[in-house]
Amino acid sequence: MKVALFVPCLMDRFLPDAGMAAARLLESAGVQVVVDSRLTCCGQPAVNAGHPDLARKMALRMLKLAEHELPVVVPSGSCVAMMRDSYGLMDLSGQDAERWRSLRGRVFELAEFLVERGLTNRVTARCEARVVVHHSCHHLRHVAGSGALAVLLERLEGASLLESEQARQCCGFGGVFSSKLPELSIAMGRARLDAMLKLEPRYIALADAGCVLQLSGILEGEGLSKRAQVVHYAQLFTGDGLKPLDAGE
Amino acid sequence: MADLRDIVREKLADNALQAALARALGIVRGKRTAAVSELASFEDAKAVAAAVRSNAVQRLKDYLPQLEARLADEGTHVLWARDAAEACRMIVDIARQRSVRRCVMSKSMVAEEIGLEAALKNAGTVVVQSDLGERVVQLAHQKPSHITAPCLHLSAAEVGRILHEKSGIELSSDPEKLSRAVARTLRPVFLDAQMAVSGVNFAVAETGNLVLVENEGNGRMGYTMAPVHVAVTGIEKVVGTLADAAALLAVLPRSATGQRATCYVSILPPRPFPGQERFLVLVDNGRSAAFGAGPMRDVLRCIRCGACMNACPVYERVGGHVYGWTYPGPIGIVLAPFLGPQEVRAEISDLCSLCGACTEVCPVGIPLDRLIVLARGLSHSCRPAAVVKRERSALEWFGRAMGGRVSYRLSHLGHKLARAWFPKKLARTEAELGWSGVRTAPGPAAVLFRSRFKRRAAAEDGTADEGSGGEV
Repeated sequence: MKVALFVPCLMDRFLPDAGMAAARLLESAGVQVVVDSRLTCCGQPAVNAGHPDLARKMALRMLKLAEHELPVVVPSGSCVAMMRDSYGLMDLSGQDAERWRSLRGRVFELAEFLVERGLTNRVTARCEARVVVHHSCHHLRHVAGSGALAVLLERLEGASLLESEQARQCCGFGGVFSSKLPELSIAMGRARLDAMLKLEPRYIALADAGCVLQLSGILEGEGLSKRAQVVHYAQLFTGDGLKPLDAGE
Repeated sequence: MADLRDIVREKLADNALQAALARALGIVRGKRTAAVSELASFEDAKAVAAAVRSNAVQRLKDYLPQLEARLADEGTHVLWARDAAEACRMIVDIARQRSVRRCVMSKSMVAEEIGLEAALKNAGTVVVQSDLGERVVQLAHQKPSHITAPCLHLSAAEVGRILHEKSGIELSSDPEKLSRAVARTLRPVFLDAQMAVSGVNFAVAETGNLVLVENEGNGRMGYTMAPVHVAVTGIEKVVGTLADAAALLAVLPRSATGQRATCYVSILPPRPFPGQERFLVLVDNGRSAAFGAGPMRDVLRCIRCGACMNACPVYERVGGHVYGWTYPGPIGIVLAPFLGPQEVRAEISDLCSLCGACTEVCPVGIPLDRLIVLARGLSHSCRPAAVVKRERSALEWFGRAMGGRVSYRLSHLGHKLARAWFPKKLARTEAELGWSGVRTAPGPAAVLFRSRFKRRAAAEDGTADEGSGGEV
């Protein structure tokens, strides 16, 4: 099986380890991965800021470039939700609408793809660590639900998975929201981190690059980076970019 | 209006508010979860309720005349108000013509929306709010911060202090004691009131029944005793049949307060009580505009349960006053473009991280987070043109940077160079974007994922030119 892996802009530029992890996780499940480096951004920032007209060009470009038969796998729930649903705001017609219909049917979030195609049993991985999983909102509510990720995480041996009482509450990133009302955005993130750090995890795993940047940015800003590492869940499986336990703690 | 960001900062630093919000929302979220999970399928109940409301909104033009005819036949006067001013004028006239000096008002968000209390006062009528929360807010000269729990922003101790100072009630922080004491002060108000104002939860087109829910019994006490009852509501509150209303009652209290049913459910017959005059004032005030606004029409489904604000992580941090008008929270954001005052329409939609927690709990299936994106689009015409232009040019710049392989790589390189050569300038930009200090901005990766992937592929099969070893 062959898929086109789309590592979206934030992950490509700021979290390349997570992108590598996504590729290797797919490969470990026996999937051949190709990457089209012409694909950059799905257009989400402009849509979420209420300017769908400015995202239209990006959406059309995406639709044109993804005009192949391969499944498109994205390790980011919000980008999947964008391509699947929000492109509906762009008044697509004719060939573009046709392309969108085709893409909608074969764009998947990473865990969603592995679970829907029944590939998770091929995945074996070990991660001897305390891990708290925080659900990224779009992944949870618009794409895969918490189910797909839970099924995938069952394949992770050695990890003790911890459930934070605030695991389903927004981390406060929200794209432009994080810049328009930064104090509020940070307060939301702090509340989630406070609840998670009580569980003394080694890793805090999320399903979207924006959420990883938000929580790791706050941990670093508060000088708490040694308490836990914020990662994309794929990294738990492949070890890409995981920092070992700090001996000094 | 002060800068939204400043107001937010102030609320975040208000420890009393933070404690009140954490406590109240913790309780109400827990109660809702328990109440919905005891049903075999709350999702099914939601689907039925959503269909009822969706149908009612689509058929407004049939149901409203049907309701009017039914009520008129039975002697209830139906008045139509285009906007807040007209609604207030009508109700003030009713009071004037009957020389009403004292009016008792039970909790009504539409009365809040149109500013009815102030209008009646200006006309010389004494208005007493009879809902406990509304009474506290009235005595404190504040505004409600929540649509079902008006003084959610206050602790029990603060409520006790307000009641002590303004109403002479013995100082206490025991909610039960306080509510009993307030009930005693209200008794003469009910006995003396010449007019009662209430809201309406559902107006039933087929039968002319008005359905009202409440927990304190103050509303019912008011509108059964006063010689004049004015029920004021939005034109969207009509439903087809009593069965429709029943379907909504299955989800409303569970979503609102986590109750199976409210303590009182009143189904008023279409005929006024003997010796009583009754008026139903149907207020448009922007609802027709929402009706004509494409997908935004769904905002009219709302049954005002407040579940969306209870679930909202933004509301949880800053409370309801930040939204600046009658309806806070996610529903307030999507109603604002149609019902809200001009001054809130510019910024209110910023108060959302698009997490979708509201949509998840909405008992009538309003896709709130999607409509908030549309509300943001509608907000641009209310914001200063220069601000919108700046935002658009930033996004256009972003679009160009993302628009091709070369520009994409150049913008990444530019970021790396800025970090090495102009760290102070970059830090200023990051700070302007709110990514500095307690939240560190991410640094650009030394090597992009795409490059790493390509190099690995090249190392594996000996091809090195762009486009191969990994292209689709």
